[in-house]
Amino acid sequence: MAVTKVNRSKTICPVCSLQDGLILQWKHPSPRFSENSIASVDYDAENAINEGSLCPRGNAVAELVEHPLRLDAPVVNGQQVDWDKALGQAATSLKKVAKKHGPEALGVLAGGGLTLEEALLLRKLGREILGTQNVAPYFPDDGAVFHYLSRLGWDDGFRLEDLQKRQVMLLVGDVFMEHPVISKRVLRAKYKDRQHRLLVIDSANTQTAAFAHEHLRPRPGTEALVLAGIAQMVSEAQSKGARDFSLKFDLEAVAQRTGVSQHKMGAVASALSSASDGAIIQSNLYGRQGLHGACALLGHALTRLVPGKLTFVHLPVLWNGRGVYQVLSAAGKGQRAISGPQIMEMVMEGQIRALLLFGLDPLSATPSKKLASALKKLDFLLVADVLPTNSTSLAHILLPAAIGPEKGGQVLYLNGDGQEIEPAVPPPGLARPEREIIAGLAQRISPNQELSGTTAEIEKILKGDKKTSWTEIFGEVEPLLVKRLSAEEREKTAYPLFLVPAAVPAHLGDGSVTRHFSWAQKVCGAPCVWASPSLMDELNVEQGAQVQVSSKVNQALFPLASDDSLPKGVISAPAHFPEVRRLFSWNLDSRHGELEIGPERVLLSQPKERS
Amino acid sequence: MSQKDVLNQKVIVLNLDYCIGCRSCATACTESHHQDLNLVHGQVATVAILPHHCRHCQQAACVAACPASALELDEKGIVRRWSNLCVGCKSCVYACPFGVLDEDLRRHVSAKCDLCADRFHQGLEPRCVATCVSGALTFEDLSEVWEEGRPQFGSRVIARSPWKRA
Repeated sequence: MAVTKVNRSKTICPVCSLQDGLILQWKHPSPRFSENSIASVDYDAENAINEGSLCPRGNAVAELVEHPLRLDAPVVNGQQVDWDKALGQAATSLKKVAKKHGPEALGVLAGGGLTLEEALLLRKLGREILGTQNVAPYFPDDGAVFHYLSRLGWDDGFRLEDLQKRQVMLLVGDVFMEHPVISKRVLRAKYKDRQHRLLVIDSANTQTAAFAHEHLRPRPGTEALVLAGIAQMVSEAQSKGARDFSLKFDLEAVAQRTGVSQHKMGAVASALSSASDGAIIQSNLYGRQGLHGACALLGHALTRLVPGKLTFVHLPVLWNGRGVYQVLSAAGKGQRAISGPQIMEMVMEGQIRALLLFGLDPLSATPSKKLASALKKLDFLLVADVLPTNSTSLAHILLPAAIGPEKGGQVLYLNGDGQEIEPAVPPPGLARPEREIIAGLAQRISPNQELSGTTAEIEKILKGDKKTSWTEIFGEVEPLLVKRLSAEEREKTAYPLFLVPAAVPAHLGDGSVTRHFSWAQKVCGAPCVWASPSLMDELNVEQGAQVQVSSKVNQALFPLASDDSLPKGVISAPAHFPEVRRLFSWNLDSRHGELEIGPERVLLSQPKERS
Repeated sequence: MSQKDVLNQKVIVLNLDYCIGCRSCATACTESHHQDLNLVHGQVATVAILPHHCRHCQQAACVAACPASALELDEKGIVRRWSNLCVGCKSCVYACPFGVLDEDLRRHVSAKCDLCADRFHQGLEPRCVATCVSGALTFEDLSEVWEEGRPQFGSRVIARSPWKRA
């Protein structure tokens, strides 16, 4: 008689930054290890973070664990090899490039899938062993927010369970669709008492906005101006902190530019200042909000201006995004701080000849022809990832890595606390946790130098963010806001519409992982464009017909779908596909080197007949 | 089943005030039922996307309509499908007054909610309820649902605040 034993391990979801608890279970002896083994997800109702709830991505974690496409062996120039050969060859190539072009021709970039320890080891590998300054995290969706928050000091120490009692909640962006699990806390807070208020700032009539008592619906890209207007109203009404808030705008002009009346901004301002506690929650999907860095800054400023206890919560896209950012972007003594997008610029200009990518697919995150050709021209490209992506196909050496529940380690949660997770399942085939890959690489490059990272070191780095004064930071963003306030409408004639990225709960971020999930393929398997029925009438196109979307940087064909919630002059598309992301222009903000991507001006037209 | 048994029956309840339309429930359902979508969603405009759960009716039209006896009401009050008997004629799909059965056939069989039978026998709630991100879905005794004074309509749709309810 064959006995089937079911193994169960408590772990956390490796997909988004909410790090929801879940139970991975599989039939003994091992998940993908026997023929008919099947891993599945169970719900961990005892977990304080999510009380068992999982979003569509979380439900698909078992698929990720035993996905048939998972990378399970090192590949060198298209040939499967063993680890020794792959790491040896990588070390030789890196040394060769460093000898020929100097160590500054090497670059190291990481995504949000690393643990804190791995981020520290990677930083040491780059800065100490390879001797290059070009080590950075790459987060096109959240980089600018991380930049401001790490300089201002994070609004830490809150408990997620406490959020559900707060009197007022201000949501910036389509928070429910980007991070569905947070809705439990927000809605409990809303319905706790009839005095409680739920306020939403978003340019579209989203599912999140449907729950709002007050929905401020600014023109695409002007969310930061609305927040600046509210902050100004709050600071004028309060004596506390009013001196610190140095931004002064003509509120009439703000109302005109954003399309949000002073009355509505005033209602939000008074709701925020009269509440004894509350929270401001921001979530940004690639270019959904204009000046999302400034939005975070102003949201954070609001929490200090009001008399009540307000918390600013930013929901990053990727798993340990904030932790990786804090560990990798901090520059040590005598070291130069550099941002991920700046390194990408150096790649595109040919200054960097060898690049190491850890858990990151720049060709999905910020796709462009220039970037693709620059990556092709590199002398050496090493990619460590879990699934095949657009970037892995260009890699000279491809190393199979592990996801969170497979490797274990420490990650940073939203409130600044560390979360320790145990490995729950072994990685597939020959795949290894990134820490082993980094250590193996370091050992082969410099056998005498030992690579190690301790928790104390990580804590020192996490605490070491320098605090900058408000006045200084406001001085930096003021020109941006002034420019946005007086934005010229010149381009309007050529590109009359705004393309605003839409969140689909089945996908996350650039979609390089979630695209492989069967549910995501079922509900949103290919990019499309949503337009209002009136716009479709105007263009005389039917639902499902192919339309051409052109921006100043690119153009592409998409099937058209109808969405009656879109305001006039706005079209929308899921930003989880490189085809959509390619339409957005690459705006490197020279002040902090992070990307500022906002709603893009586009033209919608019928495709030209082929001659 | 006696009247008392029916009242002790557990049912899935959707609170319209909480449902955000993320379709986590449908994901949990497909992931655990061999990629069969047993839980369809209805959509009103773009902002009201709500799951249509099988009610497991005590006088089930789908059971009466099935020509192959593939559907039955079992002793626990669950309307069950025997996939090996299903001929894929879609009679149940057209008979259901609530439109909970998906029209698309998968492997020649129409999809049918089984209240997550494996969990039900352990006394656990179905997966759609366990995964619900906002707490909109609950698994309760019918007697509790019929309690006097309990709101029956979602105020989000009609008045934006449950406190405005008459």
